[in-house]
Amino acid sequence: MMKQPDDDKLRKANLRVAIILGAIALLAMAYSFVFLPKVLSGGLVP
Amino acid sequence: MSVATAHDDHHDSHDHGPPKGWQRWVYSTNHKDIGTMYLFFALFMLFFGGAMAMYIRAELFMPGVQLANPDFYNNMVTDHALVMVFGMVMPAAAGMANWMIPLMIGAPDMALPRLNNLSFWLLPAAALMLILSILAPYLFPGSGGPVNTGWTLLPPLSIQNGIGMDFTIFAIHMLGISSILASINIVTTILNMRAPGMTMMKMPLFVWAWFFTALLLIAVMPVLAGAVTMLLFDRHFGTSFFDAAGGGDPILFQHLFWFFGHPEVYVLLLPSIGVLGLVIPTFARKPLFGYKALVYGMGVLAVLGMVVWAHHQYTIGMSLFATNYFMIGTILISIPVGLMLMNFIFTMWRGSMTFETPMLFGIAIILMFSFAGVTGVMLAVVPADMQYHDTMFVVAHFHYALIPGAVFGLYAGVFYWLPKWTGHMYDERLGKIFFWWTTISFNITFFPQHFSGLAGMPRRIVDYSIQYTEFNMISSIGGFLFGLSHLLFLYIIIQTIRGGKKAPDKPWEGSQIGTPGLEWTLPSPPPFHSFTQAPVVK
Repeated sequence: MMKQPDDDKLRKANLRVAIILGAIALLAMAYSFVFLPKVLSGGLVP
Repeated sequence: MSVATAHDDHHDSHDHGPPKGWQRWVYSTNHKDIGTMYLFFALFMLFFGGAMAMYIRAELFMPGVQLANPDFYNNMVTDHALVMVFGMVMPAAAGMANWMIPLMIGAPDMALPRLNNLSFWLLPAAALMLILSILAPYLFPGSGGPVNTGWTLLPPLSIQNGIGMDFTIFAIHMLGISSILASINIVTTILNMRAPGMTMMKMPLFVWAWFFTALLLIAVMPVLAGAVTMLLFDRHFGTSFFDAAGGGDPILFQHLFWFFGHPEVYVLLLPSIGVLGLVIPTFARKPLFGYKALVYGMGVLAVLGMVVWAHHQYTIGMSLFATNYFMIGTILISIPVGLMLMNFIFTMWRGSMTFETPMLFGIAIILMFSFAGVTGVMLAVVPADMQYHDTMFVVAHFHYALIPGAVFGLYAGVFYWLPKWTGHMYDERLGKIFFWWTTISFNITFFPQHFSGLAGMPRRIVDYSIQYTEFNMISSIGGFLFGLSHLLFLYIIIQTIRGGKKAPDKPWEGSQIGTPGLEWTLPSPPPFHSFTQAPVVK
């Protein structure tokens, strides 16, 4: 929750959350290249 | 929620008002201005995608090829979907999120305002790419035919398409980046920027809906970006991800596309469910029934929505285990959806209901989206789906899901918040005429498509057998009426922006009932800088 709108701490906290979410998005992209083809070639597609 | 006390300092000395001229919009980091730009962009794309729909219905009015060649028809089918999904519904919902989430949670702006500016300004560039993809065959003769794959962009056809496909792929890349950045911003805002006392479980349902929507987008949009990048590599760099001739598998693209595509349906639906969570308690004048159940239900819906993608692909020949899994998983989705709809009905039960335009849309959504739920369960059942697959029945089903489920929710939101956004009340009589006009013409358009589909009419085909003529004629007449109704929508919006009865801070009698946010503590329209000092929620 917000305490002071211009708080430097808040800015850093925002950046931290954004970086974590960005990393999740990059992992999701890697998933399409690496993980899903592997699963599908071994399992779901006969 | 308990009453909020805000340090209403919106008239303080720091409130210097908006910059003047074009710089206000191009360089804007203000959530309200960016929200407004999103909404106007979506309105433009509504008419752009709608014009394509009018062409499609004109072409299908009679059997035989009437207006243009089949490739152009397939191009219009493709771009109608891309424009409506990526250009209209998602930006409109993002516009509402930009406008309302900071106001609801008591934040001065979005957490990352410059990123917000970038998220929006990627959209017009992407729209230009999409327009170029349509014009490419005419601008660059000999560069191949138009994009005619449908919005699913399935290979091998998408590998063989002309240069228009490259423009489409780049458009999807930009739209994807825009959505991911906007989603990161929204999640960060919700987690970090809430006013003191505004706990997660005090947030309005619309904020929760967008929280799940943004998480879904962050998880699945990059998968589509990866898939279309692989497609681009197959087209130009000699790889064979999806080319069977080189050892690749076109089915893999289907899995990747639908891993994105099915959760995308919930990305389109959830913001509208969030709007319903505000509109129904307001006009029923009763607190929302089962707030926590609705929040958890949306979470379950988001998770289940991510693991049932292959129900779009039963006919590809999966193993029996996989088919059963996807069938059971899909049918399970009816539990959280049913729970939400029942909660909305129980909210209305014995309420002091009035039927202003947003409420009329809210009730229509419950009725017509339930109908899409019924046909959805039919399509989830494997043996039945084998018959319905790729017929007009599917077109009818998803238009019943997306027009009432997503678009009507946005209309409800527009009418609900227009007084707050503009400071003027809209013309209620015209709003009601618009509601009845769209609802009736929508049903005339899409209800007959269930029958033509069940009778075997395939989708994405420019011509059809003469036995389907009557169904298509009725559908086309409904379609033209539906399209025409949106001129009234445009008129109402322009009229409300230009003037009208002054809107009070709380334009709706029941707006403080249920789990409202802090938006009603501000004047209508809110000042350019709002909540520069954090309000306190008791």
